[in-house]
Amino acid sequence: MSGKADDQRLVERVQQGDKRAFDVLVLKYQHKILKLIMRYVRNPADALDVSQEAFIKAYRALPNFRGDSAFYTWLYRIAINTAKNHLVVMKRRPLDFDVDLQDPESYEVNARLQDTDTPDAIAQREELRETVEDAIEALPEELRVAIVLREIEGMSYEEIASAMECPVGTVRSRIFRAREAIDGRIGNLLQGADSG
Amino acid sequence: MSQTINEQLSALLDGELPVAEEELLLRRLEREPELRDRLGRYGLVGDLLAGASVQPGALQLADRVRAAIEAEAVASPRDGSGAGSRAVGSGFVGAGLAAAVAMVVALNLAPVKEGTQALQFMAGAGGVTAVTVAEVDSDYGYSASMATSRLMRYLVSHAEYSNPATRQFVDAHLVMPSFRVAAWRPAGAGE
Repeated sequence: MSGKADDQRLVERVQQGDKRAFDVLVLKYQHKILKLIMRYVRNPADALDVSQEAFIKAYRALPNFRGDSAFYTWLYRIAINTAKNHLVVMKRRPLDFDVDLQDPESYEVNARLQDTDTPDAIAQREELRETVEDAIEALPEELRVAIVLREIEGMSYEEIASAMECPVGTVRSRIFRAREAIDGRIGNLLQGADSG
Repeated sequence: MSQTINEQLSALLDGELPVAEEELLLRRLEREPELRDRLGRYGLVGDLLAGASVQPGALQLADRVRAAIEAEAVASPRDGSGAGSRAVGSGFVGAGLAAAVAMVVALNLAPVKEGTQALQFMAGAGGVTAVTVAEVDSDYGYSASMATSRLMRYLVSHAEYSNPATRQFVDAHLVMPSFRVAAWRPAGAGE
Protein backbone atom coordinates (compact mmCIF):
# COMPACT_ATOMS: atom_id res chain seq x y z
CA MET A 1 0.00 0.00 0.00
CA SER A 2 2.56 2.52 1.08
CA GLY A 3 5.84 2.49 -0.70
CA LYS A 4 9.15 2.49 1.05
CA ALA A 5 9.93 6.00 -0.08
CA ASP A 6 6.63 7.44 1.18
CA ASP A 7 7.68 7.65 4.79
CA GLN A 8 11.40 7.92 4.31
CA ARG A 9 11.69 11.62 5.00
CA LEU A 10 9.41 11.51 8.01
CA VAL A 11 11.40 8.59 9.40
CA GLU A 12 14.63 10.49 8.92
CA ARG A 13 13.16 13.48 10.68
CA VAL A 14 12.18 11.35 13.65
CA GLN A 15 15.65 9.84 13.73
CA GLN A 16 17.00 13.36 13.92
CA GLY A 17 14.82 14.04 16.95
CA ASP A 18 11.69 15.53 15.38
CA LYS A 19 8.75 14.19 17.38
CA ARG A 20 6.28 16.02 15.12
CA ALA A 21 7.22 13.77 12.25
CA PHE A 22 6.43 10.72 14.34
CA ASP A 23 3.04 12.25 15.12
CA VAL A 24 2.36 12.37 11.39
CA LEU A 25 3.31 8.71 11.03
CA VAL A 26 0.96 7.79 13.87
CA LEU A 27 -1.86 9.80 12.31
CA LYS A 28 -1.23 8.03 9.05
CA TYR A 29 -1.19 4.49 10.39
CA GLN A 30 -3.32 4.61 13.53
CA HIS A 31 -6.33 2.99 11.88
CA LYS A 32 -4.36 0.23 10.24
CA ILE A 33 -2.49 -0.63 13.41
CA LEU A 34 -5.57 -0.60 15.61
CA LYS A 35 -7.40 -2.76 13.12
CA LEU A 36 -4.49 -5.17 13.00
CA ILE A 37 -4.20 -5.43 16.76
CA MET A 38 -7.91 -6.05 17.09
CA ARG A 39 -7.35 -9.32 15.24
CA TYR A 40 -5.57 -10.42 18.41
CA VAL A 41 -7.00 -8.29 21.18
CA ARG A 42 -10.75 -8.19 20.81
CA ASN A 43 -11.54 -5.84 23.68
CA PRO A 44 -11.52 -2.34 22.10
CA ALA A 45 -10.09 -0.63 25.17
CA ASP A 46 -7.28 -3.18 25.46
CA ALA A 47 -6.65 -2.93 21.74
CA LEU A 48 -6.22 0.82 22.05
CA ASP A 49 -3.74 0.35 24.89
CA VAL A 50 -1.78 -2.26 22.95
CA SER A 51 -1.79 -0.06 19.84
CA GLN A 52 -0.45 2.82 21.87
CA GLU A 53 2.25 0.57 23.29
CA ALA A 54 3.18 -0.62 19.80
CA PHE A 55 3.61 2.94 18.54
CA ILE A 56 5.70 3.86 21.55
CA LYS A 57 7.89 0.81 21.04
CA ALA A 58 8.33 1.87 17.44
CA TYR A 59 9.24 5.38 18.54
CA ARG A 60 11.89 4.03 20.87
CA ALA A 61 13.25 1.66 18.25
CA LEU A 62 13.27 4.11 15.35
CA PRO A 63 16.87 5.21 15.91
CA ASN A 64 17.84 1.65 15.02
CA PHE A 65 15.53 1.38 12.00
CA ARG A 66 17.81 1.05 9.00
CA GLY A 67 15.18 1.20 6.32
CA ASP A 68 15.75 -2.31 4.98
CA SER A 69 11.98 -2.61 4.70
CA ALA A 70 9.22 -0.06 4.40
CA PHE A 71 8.39 1.74 7.62
CA TYR A 72 4.88 0.30 7.68
CA THR A 73 6.13 -3.27 7.29
CA TRP A 74 8.47 -2.70 10.20
CA LEU A 75 5.73 -1.08 12.28
CA TYR A 76 3.37 -3.92 11.38
CA ARG A 77 5.77 -6.48 12.83
CA ILE A 78 6.18 -4.48 16.02
CA ALA A 79 2.40 -4.26 16.36
CA ILE A 80 1.91 -8.00 15.95
CA ASN A 81 4.66 -8.82 18.43
CA THR A 82 3.21 -6.36 20.92
CA ALA A 83 -0.24 -7.90 20.56
CA LYS A 84 1.14 -11.41 21.01
CA ASN A 85 3.12 -10.36 24.06
CA HIS A 86 -0.02 -8.83 25.48
CA LEU A 87 -1.85 -12.11 25.09
CA VAL A 88 1.00 -14.00 26.74
CA VAL A 89 0.95 -11.58 29.66
CA MET A 90 -2.79 -12.02 29.89
CA LYS A 91 -2.17 -15.78 29.85
CA ARG A 92 -4.22 -16.21 26.75
CA ARG A 93 -3.28 -18.23 23.76
CA PRO A 94 -3.15 -16.20 20.56
CA LEU A 95 -6.15 -16.71 18.32
CA ASP A 96 -6.01 -19.74 16.06
CA PHE A 97 -5.86 -17.81 12.86
CA ASP A 98 -2.69 -15.98 12.25
CA VAL A 99 -1.72 -13.23 9.93
CA ASP A 100 1.31 -13.33 7.75
CA LEU A 101 4.05 -11.51 9.56
CA GLN A 102 5.81 -10.75 6.33
CA ASP A 103 2.85 -9.56 4.36
CA PRO A 104 0.74 -6.63 5.56
CA GLU A 105 -1.13 -6.65 2.26
CA SER A 106 -2.53 -10.16 2.64
CA TYR A 107 -3.76 -9.23 6.08
CA GLU A 108 -5.64 -6.20 4.74
CA VAL A 109 -7.46 -8.29 2.18
CA ASN A 110 -8.65 -10.89 4.69
CA ALA A 111 -9.38 -8.62 7.60
CA ARG A 112 -12.97 -7.86 6.68
CA LEU A 113 -13.94 -11.50 6.56
CA GLN A 114 -12.99 -12.11 10.16
CA ASP A 115 -14.90 -9.39 11.95
CA THR A 116 -16.95 -10.43 14.92
CA ASP A 117 -18.88 -7.32 15.84
CA THR A 118 -22.22 -6.36 17.23
CA PRO A 119 -25.09 -5.91 14.79
CA ASP A 120 -25.03 -2.17 15.42
CA ALA A 121 -21.34 -1.93 14.65
CA ILE A 122 -21.75 -4.01 11.52
CA ALA A 123 -24.66 -1.85 10.36
CA GLN A 124 -22.65 1.29 11.05
CA ARG A 125 -19.72 0.01 9.07
CA GLU A 126 -21.93 -1.10 6.24
CA GLU A 127 -23.39 2.40 6.09
CA LEU A 128 -19.90 3.85 6.04
CA ARG A 129 -18.81 1.47 3.30
CA GLU A 130 -21.80 2.39 1.16
CA THR A 131 -21.18 6.08 1.76
CA VAL A 132 -17.57 5.72 0.67
CA GLU A 133 -18.61 3.85 -2.46
CA ASP A 134 -21.19 6.53 -3.24
CA ALA A 135 -18.59 9.22 -2.65
CA ILE A 136 -16.17 7.54 -5.04
CA GLU A 137 -18.87 7.12 -7.66
CA ALA A 138 -19.79 10.78 -7.36
CA LEU A 139 -16.22 11.94 -8.00
CA PRO A 140 -15.32 13.37 -11.39
CA GLU A 141 -13.40 10.74 -13.31
CA GLU A 142 -10.01 12.45 -13.11
CA LEU A 143 -10.27 12.66 -9.32
CA ARG A 144 -11.51 9.09 -8.99
CA VAL A 145 -8.69 7.71 -11.12
CA ALA A 146 -6.08 9.74 -9.25
CA ILE A 147 -7.21 8.67 -5.78
CA VAL A 148 -7.60 5.03 -6.79
CA LEU A 149 -4.14 4.93 -8.33
CA ARG A 150 -2.76 6.44 -5.19
CA GLU A 151 -4.68 4.61 -2.46
CA ILE A 152 -5.41 1.29 -4.09
CA GLU A 153 -2.44 0.87 -6.42
CA GLY A 154 0.02 2.70 -4.19
CA MET A 155 1.53 4.65 -7.06
CA SER A 156 3.69 7.73 -6.53
CA TYR A 157 2.58 11.14 -7.78
CA GLU A 158 5.13 10.90 -10.56
CA GLU A 159 3.84 7.52 -11.66
CA ILE A 160 0.27 8.79 -11.58
CA ALA A 161 1.26 11.87 -13.54
CA SER A 162 2.82 9.66 -16.15
CA ALA A 163 -0.23 7.38 -16.30
CA MET A 164 -2.68 10.27 -16.48
CA GLU A 165 -0.47 12.37 -18.72
CA CYS A 166 -0.63 15.45 -16.55
CA PRO A 167 1.79 17.45 -14.36
CA VAL A 168 2.65 16.20 -10.87
CA GLY A 169 1.10 19.34 -9.40
CA THR A 170 -2.20 18.42 -11.01
CA VAL A 171 -2.02 14.96 -9.52
CA ARG A 172 -1.39 16.45 -6.09
CA SER A 173 -4.39 18.71 -6.49
CA ARG A 174 -6.67 15.93 -7.77
CA ILE A 175 -5.80 13.57 -4.95
CA PHE A 176 -6.39 16.31 -2.41
CA ARG A 177 -9.77 17.22 -3.92
CA ALA A 178 -10.80 13.59 -3.98
CA ARG A 179 -9.92 13.21 -0.30
CA GLU A 180 -11.78 16.38 0.56
CA ALA A 181 -14.88 15.20 -1.28
CA ILE A 182 -14.87 11.79 0.43
CA ASP A 183 -14.07 13.28 3.81
CA GLY A 184 -16.99 15.67 3.39
CA ARG A 185 -19.37 12.76 2.85
CA ILE A 186 -18.17 10.56 5.70
CA GLY A 187 -17.42 13.20 8.34
CA ASN A 188 -20.62 12.77 10.34
CA LEU A 189 -20.55 9.01 10.10
CA LEU A 190 -16.99 8.95 11.36
CA GLN A 191 -17.89 10.85 14.51
CA GLY A 192 -20.48 8.23 15.36
CA ALA A 193 -18.26 5.32 14.47
CA ASP A 194 -15.25 6.62 16.32
CA SER A 195 -17.10 7.25 19.54
CA GLY A 196 -18.65 3.80 19.42
CA MET B 1 -7.96 26.74 7.16
CA SER B 2 -6.94 27.33 3.60
CA GLN B 3 -7.19 24.90 0.75
CA THR B 4 -3.45 25.29 0.24
CA ILE B 5 -2.70 23.99 3.71
CA ASN B 6 -5.09 21.09 3.30
CA GLU B 7 -3.52 20.20 -0.02
CA GLN B 8 -0.13 20.22 1.69
CA LEU B 9 -1.51 17.87 4.34
CA SER B 10 -2.66 15.52 1.63
CA ALA B 11 0.77 15.57 0.01
CA LEU B 12 2.49 15.10 3.37
CA LEU B 13 0.42 11.97 3.94
CA ASP B 14 1.71 10.61 0.64
CA GLY B 15 5.31 11.56 1.32
CA GLU B 16 5.14 13.92 -1.62
CA LEU B 17 5.42 17.29 0.09
CA PRO B 18 8.48 19.28 -1.00
CA VAL B 19 11.05 19.67 1.77
CA ALA B 20 10.68 23.44 1.61
CA GLU B 21 7.03 23.19 2.66
CA GLU B 22 7.52 20.52 5.28
CA GLU B 23 8.87 22.43 8.26
CA LEU B 24 6.19 25.09 8.19
CA LEU B 25 3.42 22.53 7.90
CA LEU B 26 4.82 20.44 10.78
CA ARG B 27 4.87 23.58 12.89
CA ARG B 28 1.24 24.28 12.09
CA LEU B 29 0.30 20.68 12.77
CA GLU B 30 1.87 20.95 16.17
CA ARG B 31 -0.33 23.84 17.24
CA GLU B 32 -3.54 23.32 15.27
CA PRO B 33 -5.56 20.30 16.39
CA GLU B 34 -7.98 20.70 13.49
CA LEU B 35 -5.13 20.06 11.09
CA ARG B 36 -4.15 16.90 12.94
CA ASP B 37 -7.76 15.73 12.86
CA ARG B 38 -7.93 16.35 9.15
CA LEU B 39 -4.70 14.48 8.53
CA GLY B 40 -6.05 11.55 10.53
CA ARG B 41 -9.24 11.56 8.46
CA TYR B 42 -7.31 11.72 5.20
CA GLY B 43 -5.44 8.64 6.37
CA LEU B 44 -8.71 6.94 7.15
CA VAL B 45 -10.13 7.79 3.73
CA GLY B 46 -7.30 5.78 2.20
CA ASP B 47 -7.96 2.84 4.49
CA LEU B 48 -11.66 2.93 3.71
CA LEU B 49 -10.96 3.01 -0.01
CA ALA B 50 -8.81 -0.07 0.46
CA GLY B 51 -11.73 -1.81 2.14
CA ALA B 52 -10.82 -1.41 5.78
CA SER B 53 -13.41 -0.56 8.40
CA VAL B 54 -13.32 2.00 11.19
CA GLN B 55 -12.32 0.88 14.65
CA PRO B 56 -13.83 2.83 17.54
CA GLY B 57 -11.28 5.12 19.11
CA ALA B 58 -8.85 5.00 16.21
CA LEU B 59 -9.02 8.72 15.70
CA GLN B 60 -7.90 9.29 19.29
CA LEU B 61 -4.95 6.97 19.13
CA ALA B 62 -2.52 9.55 17.81
CA ASP B 63 -3.46 11.92 20.64
CA ARG B 64 -2.73 9.23 23.18
CA VAL B 65 0.62 8.35 21.65
CA ARG B 66 1.63 11.97 21.43
CA ALA B 67 0.65 12.57 25.06
CA ALA B 68 2.67 9.56 26.19
CA ILE B 69 5.74 10.74 24.29
CA GLU B 70 5.33 14.27 25.62
CA ALA B 71 5.02 12.86 29.14
CA GLU B 72 8.32 11.09 28.69
CA ALA B 73 9.96 14.27 27.46
CA VAL B 74 8.65 16.18 30.48
CA ALA B 75 9.74 13.44 32.86
CA SER B 76 13.24 13.39 31.38
CA PRO B 77 14.05 16.90 30.21
CA ARG B 78 17.75 16.12 29.89
CA ASP B 79 17.04 14.38 26.60
CA GLY B 80 15.02 16.58 24.34
CA SER B 81 15.64 14.53 21.24
CA GLY B 82 12.98 12.44 19.56
CA ALA B 83 12.81 8.70 19.00
CA GLY B 84 13.12 8.19 22.70
CA SER B 85 15.95 6.20 24.04
CA ARG B 86 14.12 5.48 27.24
CA ALA B 87 10.96 3.74 28.10
CA VAL B 88 7.79 5.75 28.04
CA GLY B 89 5.47 3.13 29.35
CA SER B 90 7.97 1.74 31.79
CA GLY B 91 7.87 5.02 33.68
CA PHE B 92 4.24 4.51 34.47
CA VAL B 93 4.71 0.82 35.12
CA GLY B 94 7.63 1.59 37.38
CA ALA B 95 5.65 4.22 39.21
CA GLY B 96 2.86 1.74 39.71
CA LEU B 97 5.29 -0.84 41.01
CA ALA B 98 6.86 1.66 43.36
CA ALA B 99 3.45 2.60 44.71
CA ALA B 100 2.53 -1.05 45.11
CA VAL B 101 5.78 -1.79 46.91
CA ALA B 102 5.16 1.18 49.16
CA MET B 103 1.75 -0.15 50.04
CA VAL B 104 3.12 -3.62 50.71
CA VAL B 105 5.86 -2.22 52.92
CA ALA B 106 3.32 -0.21 54.85
CA LEU B 107 0.81 -3.02 55.15
CA ASN B 108 3.44 -5.44 56.38
CA LEU B 109 4.86 -3.23 59.04
CA ALA B 110 3.32 -5.28 61.83
CA PRO B 111 0.31 -7.38 62.70
CA VAL B 112 -2.69 -5.57 64.10
CA LYS B 113 -3.18 -5.96 67.80
CA GLU B 114 -4.90 -4.17 70.60
CA GLY B 115 -3.37 -0.82 71.28
CA THR B 116 -2.43 -0.36 67.63
CA GLN B 117 -2.16 3.02 66.05
CA ALA B 118 -3.54 3.99 62.69
CA LEU B 119 -1.31 5.52 60.08
CA GLN B 120 -3.10 7.52 57.43
CA PHE B 121 -1.76 8.98 54.28
CA MET B 122 -3.41 11.78 52.43
CA ALA B 123 -2.60 11.94 48.77
CA GLY B 124 -2.33 15.24 46.99
CA ALA B 125 -4.07 16.35 43.83
CA GLY B 126 -4.46 13.54 41.40
CA GLY B 127 -3.94 10.93 44.05
CA VAL B 128 -6.09 8.98 46.41
CA THR B 129 -7.96 10.71 49.19
CA ALA B 130 -7.40 9.94 52.85
CA VAL B 131 -6.62 6.25 52.95
CA THR B 132 -5.57 4.28 55.95
CA VAL B 133 -2.72 2.22 54.63
CA ALA B 134 -1.50 0.51 57.75
CA GLU B 135 -2.13 -0.15 61.32
CA VAL B 136 0.97 -0.20 63.42
CA ASP B 137 1.39 -2.00 66.68
CA SER B 138 3.28 0.18 69.07
CA ASP B 139 4.33 -2.98 70.94
CA TYR B 140 6.51 -3.87 67.98
CA GLY B 141 8.34 -0.63 68.36
CA TYR B 142 7.07 1.08 65.20
CA SER B 143 5.93 4.63 65.03
CA ALA B 144 4.60 6.78 62.24
CA SER B 145 7.90 8.49 61.76
CA MET B 146 9.70 5.16 61.65
CA ALA B 147 7.26 3.86 59.12
CA THR B 148 7.65 6.81 56.80
CA SER B 149 11.36 6.80 57.33
CA ARG B 150 11.53 3.11 56.42
CA LEU B 151 9.45 3.71 53.34
CA MET B 152 11.67 6.58 52.25
CA ARG B 153 14.83 4.54 52.87
CA TYR B 154 13.43 1.81 50.68
CA LEU B 155 12.58 4.23 47.91
CA VAL B 156 15.93 5.98 48.10
CA SER B 157 17.96 2.79 48.23
CA HIS B 158 16.16 1.36 45.25
CA ALA B 159 16.16 4.53 43.22
CA GLU B 160 19.16 3.41 41.22
CA TYR B 161 17.11 0.59 39.76
CA SER B 162 14.32 2.82 38.57
CA ASN B 163 14.30 5.01 35.53
CA PRO B 164 14.14 8.80 35.80
CA ALA B 165 10.41 8.96 35.11
CA THR B 166 9.74 6.57 37.96
CA ARG B 167 11.93 8.49 40.34
CA GLN B 168 10.26 11.74 39.45
CA PHE B 169 6.84 10.19 39.97
CA VAL B 170 7.85 8.74 43.31
CA ASP B 171 9.41 12.01 44.39
CA ALA B 172 6.35 13.96 43.40
CA HIS B 173 3.68 11.67 44.69
CA LEU B 174 5.10 9.59 47.50
CA VAL B 175 8.02 11.28 49.14
CA MET B 176 7.37 14.95 48.58
CA PRO B 177 4.70 16.94 50.40
CA SER B 178 1.87 16.05 48.04
CA PHE B 179 1.79 12.68 49.78
CA ARG B 180 1.98 13.38 53.46
CA VAL B 181 1.10 11.86 56.77
CA ALA B 182 -2.30 13.30 57.49
CA ALA B 183 -3.14 11.77 60.81
CA TRP B 184 -1.46 9.75 63.46
CA ARG B 185 -3.58 8.62 66.30
CA PRO B 186 -3.84 5.71 68.72
CA ALA B 187 -6.54 3.30 67.60
CA GLY B 188 -8.44 3.67 70.87
CA ALA B 189 -8.32 7.44 70.88
CA GLY B 190 -11.78 7.87 69.40
CA GLU B 191 -12.93 7.74 65.82
